[in-house]
Amino acid sequence: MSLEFWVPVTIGIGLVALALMFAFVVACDKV
Amino acid sequence: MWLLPVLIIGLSAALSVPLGRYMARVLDRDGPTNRVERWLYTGSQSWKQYCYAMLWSNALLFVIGYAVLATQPWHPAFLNPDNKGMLSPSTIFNTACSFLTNTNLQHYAGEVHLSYGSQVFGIMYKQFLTPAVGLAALLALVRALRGDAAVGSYTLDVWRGLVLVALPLSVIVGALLVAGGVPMTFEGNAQATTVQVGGMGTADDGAAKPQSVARGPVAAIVAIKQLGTNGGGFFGTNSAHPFENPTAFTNVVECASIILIPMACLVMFGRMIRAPRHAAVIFGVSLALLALFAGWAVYYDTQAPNPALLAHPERKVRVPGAGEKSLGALAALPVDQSGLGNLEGKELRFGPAAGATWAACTTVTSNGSVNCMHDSLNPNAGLTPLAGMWLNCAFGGVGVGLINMIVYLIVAVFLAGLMVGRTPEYLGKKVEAREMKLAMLALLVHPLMILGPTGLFAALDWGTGATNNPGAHGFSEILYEFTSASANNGSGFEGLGDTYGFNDAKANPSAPAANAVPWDIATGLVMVICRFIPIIAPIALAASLAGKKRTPFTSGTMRTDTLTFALVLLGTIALVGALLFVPAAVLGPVAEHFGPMPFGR
Repeated sequence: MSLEFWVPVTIGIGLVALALMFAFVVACDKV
Repeated sequence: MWLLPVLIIGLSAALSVPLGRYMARVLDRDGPTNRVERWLYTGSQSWKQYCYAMLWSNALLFVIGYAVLATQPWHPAFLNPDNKGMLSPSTIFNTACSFLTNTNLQHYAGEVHLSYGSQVFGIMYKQFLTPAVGLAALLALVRALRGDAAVGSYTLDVWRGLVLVALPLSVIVGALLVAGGVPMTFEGNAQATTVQVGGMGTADDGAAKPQSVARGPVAAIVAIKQLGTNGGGFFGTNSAHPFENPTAFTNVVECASIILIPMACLVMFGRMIRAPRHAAVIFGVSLALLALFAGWAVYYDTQAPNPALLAHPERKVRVPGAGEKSLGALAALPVDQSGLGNLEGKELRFGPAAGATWAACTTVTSNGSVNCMHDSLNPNAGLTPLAGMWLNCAFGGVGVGLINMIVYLIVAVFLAGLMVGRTPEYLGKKVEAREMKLAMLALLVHPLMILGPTGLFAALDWGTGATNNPGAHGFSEILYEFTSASANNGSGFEGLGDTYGFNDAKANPSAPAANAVPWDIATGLVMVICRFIPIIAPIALAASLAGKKRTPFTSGTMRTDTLTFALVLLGTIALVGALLFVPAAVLGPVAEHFGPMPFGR
């Protein structure tokens, strides 16, 4: 696998998933 | 046959009472009590501040975990004595997500792919931290349920869970395992030659041809692996490996350790809300479910051998849609299976019931360690681990299992309230539309993250190209993988091609699986989503209840500390679980049980 492509992509996917959890906290507050 | 499950469950239940009392005393203290705690204390936080702190710390853990695994080739020699290379980025991503979320799903073999540095600093410290995070989430939820205005200090709660619960218990269990023969060393693989010429360590001409015997800091990792409902083993075969679980004694210690802290969480819960009878009702429901699952698995796995492995002459079977197929003649296993049940994939030194008992304990909690191969369980017995993970609330993972149970409990209270025509109440607070919306969010993300990806992968080459078996059993492999990821369990049905391994494909003992990347990414995302949503939504729910006025207890109040309520709760769990997962079960293990081959008549 190309490290130049897959390392930033996989780190990005993980951080975006965690960022969505922050958004979920905000959403729960508005329910 | 039945003595082992009774001994293990009974031992854990007995030990959980003093442990739960201890946990309530040391984890629920007001404010800091020493210099370190004063340094960590952030002041009591609102539920949102608490959740943000949890997410920030987990984002940091993800980055650190990724970095430790990615820099494996550059670890110091004493932490990488066997010169392990770099893993593929998708394997690193999956592993970082897996150990961040207390799942410990392993798309690699520890002794093959990880250096000691990765094992200790990429994995083991998370095995201590993530159960402490689960405990902290439970503490926040329980404080809100009892009406506290703020839910506590996240950093202080995690610290206390780590140093006052996880570490001391691990030292005790680790010492027991070392005494039982589990290795604990930082030396590299042992090079062994055999006396017998032509054996595995000596060539036919008598020249030394040493075999490499993997070892390492196994006891330390196994202790917290079991206690923290982690499950990620030092060796690829987990506690089926003779160095990870050498004797019947270590088998009992390890299996009892799986359910000890989840059981103690319920005792702690009862003391924190000062309602021990209510906690006893939940404990009884969880125990009934565990006994049912263990009994079911032991019964169906010890009553009959695997029919596919019994001696039979060549025979013809009719397969719907595929015409008549020929099954070749098969010689029997070279052991007498009569009276022992299914011995395929089992460690014979533990006896016939050990694998099924462990399978039940490891999947009702979100542990995921194994001492037998779940892929080899008889189909009906294989339903036990799936059902345990689908419900994910009978004791469950450290902290988070009880959180799941409280969500079911809110649903039960709501349904019972509707049936008797009263506004539902829990612990004196009215359960209204907002709480039910949050409960549904927490409840439905689990089936959504199992059934959606399972359907997608079963329809694509990502799934069918990765399974090792055709038909219903292959479907069960896909279903199991996403169930395990969503329940943050981590056990595998195996037989699934999902390992890429080292990024340098030539360094792998076998070629990277063709579909490893989609499996790594998909299960990694499922683990993250299903770790945090079922924590955040219930804490928000409890905080919502905390802000309400307590209604006085009257003769019309529905009691939650009676046998009647226990039956309502049990019925709710069974009903919700059946509605969500029976169709998938029918396509997998049930179809295999009744199917034409190899189990059908």
